[in-house]
Amino acid sequence: MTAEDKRAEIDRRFDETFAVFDERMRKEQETISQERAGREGSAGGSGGEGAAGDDTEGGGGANGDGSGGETKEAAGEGSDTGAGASGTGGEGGQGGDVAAGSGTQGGGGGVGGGAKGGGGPREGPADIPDGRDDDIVARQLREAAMKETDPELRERLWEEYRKYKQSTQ
Amino acid sequence: MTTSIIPAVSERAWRACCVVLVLMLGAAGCVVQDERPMAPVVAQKATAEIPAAELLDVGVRMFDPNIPQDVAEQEKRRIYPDVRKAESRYMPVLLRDTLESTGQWGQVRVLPAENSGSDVNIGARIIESDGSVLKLAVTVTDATGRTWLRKDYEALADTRAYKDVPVKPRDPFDNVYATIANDLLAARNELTREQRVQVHQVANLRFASELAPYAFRPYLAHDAKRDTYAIARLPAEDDPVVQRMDRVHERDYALIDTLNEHYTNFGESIDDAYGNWRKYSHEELAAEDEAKRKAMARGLLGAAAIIGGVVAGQNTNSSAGSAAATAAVIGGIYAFKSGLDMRSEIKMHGESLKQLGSSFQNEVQPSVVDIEGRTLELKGSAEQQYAEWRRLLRELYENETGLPATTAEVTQPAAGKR
Repeated sequence: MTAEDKRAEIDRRFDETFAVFDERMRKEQETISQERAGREGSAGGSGGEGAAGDDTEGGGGANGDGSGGETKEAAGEGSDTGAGASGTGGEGGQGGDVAAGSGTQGGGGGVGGGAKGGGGPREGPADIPDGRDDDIVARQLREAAMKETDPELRERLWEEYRKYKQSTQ
Repeated sequence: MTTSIIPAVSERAWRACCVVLVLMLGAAGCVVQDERPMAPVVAQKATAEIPAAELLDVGVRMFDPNIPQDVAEQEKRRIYPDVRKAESRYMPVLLRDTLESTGQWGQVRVLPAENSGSDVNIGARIIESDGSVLKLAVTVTDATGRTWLRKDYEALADTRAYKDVPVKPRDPFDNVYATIANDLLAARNELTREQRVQVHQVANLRFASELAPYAFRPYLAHDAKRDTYAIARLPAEDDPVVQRMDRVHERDYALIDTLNEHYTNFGESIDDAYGNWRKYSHEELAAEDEAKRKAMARGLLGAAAIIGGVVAGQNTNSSAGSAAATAAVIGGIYAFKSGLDMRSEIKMHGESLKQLGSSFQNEVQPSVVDIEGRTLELKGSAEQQYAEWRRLLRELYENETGLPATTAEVTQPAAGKR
């Protein structure tokens, strides 16, 4: 085999390995793109779920009216402003409001929805609601209060919880 | 009433009160933070096209999360390991985006932590990050081994970033990234045109000499003592080994670019939760500081009133003065107790911060594990290709020169470790 033939053979193997590598990278890029698209979609969907939570709660009234539809629409359009999520307003929209604070669309709705899912009737002062519509801050205040053993401090935490809930309504 | 007391209270008593009050004001002042929005620092953008040969590529390595081994220390400093790990991947992406936006640089890439192969390499250690303050220790070097920067950057959060607004605000610590970008630009502008071109050439030769040292090491002059590199001579552009090496280098860039896509995805996936954590952490820290300040102020105010009352009581003969002194002591005790009561509020804020940190850590942990796994998997699978390319380059070199590739390969760089 001449040096020229040997070089051609080496080049052929180079080309083969480059092709394998390029294909691997192409697939990886494809996966990344799909994940990104999926996340954007699910973020919008979560926003919708948050709004849907309002409806199922019968939270109705000022909170739920029409906002669910708006959120879904915003998510469906792939809006990246976060305004759609924050526009849910009221209790159901708290998750959305949180999202608006960080300026990311859709995901905020997810936070709101998650909070609702994680809530449920728990023991606490009689005037404390069941927490199904708690957002992340309210949830953490609630959990801190539930765990606190010092009665005075526990009452302060519940007071903070009440104030926070009032401020977000 | 007040006017009747003052003459009865001795100068000594008031002096004691004044000393305590001065101490109180001084101590309280130490913890007050400036809550005003920051004046934005703008990363300086290119106003003219930079010649391609002078455009330097920048590699922003994963930041050092700087997590103490000791769990007690972690708790004391409120460091949540997975949060820090997430930040060590999130922040380089922000710095990359800032640098890219200036148009002052060639390719700007986020690199795995051990990578050091760009024209310009940025490394940073997270000293402090809690939503209120960001402090980074930054080091910038170039491929020749020249140090551009070694500096700490610290900033308070720009509170506008925490407002609920319809459009995405700046990152609360954008000023840090913009300042780094401007410092980097200033450092680059100190180099001559020839030095910039050489930086790029040395970076290429270092990459090549790691893969095929027998062929490329002779082109580099390495000062082992100072750990600097210079060009001894340049290879011929039509050298077959150089041409194949360029093709391998393109794949290395492709691997890094793919990893960058993962990092970008990761940043986007945690952006929401991370933003919330920083916002509420900032609020709790501010509230905790305020509670501490109040507690200290009340405690000291109470102490001042008690001292003043006691001394006044000793120095007055009138019944009115005595009653006022007693009232001052009682008031002081009340104020002092009120200061002690604030401690429960401080504890509450501390508890909230703990809850926030734990909650976010639980939320972000799967994403951190995922990105770590994907990076390893991708690099692992590319490693096989790199091994094959090393072998082919060796064969090609021997075929072209008729010489054995005898130079021992000192390092076997991992895939993507340029």
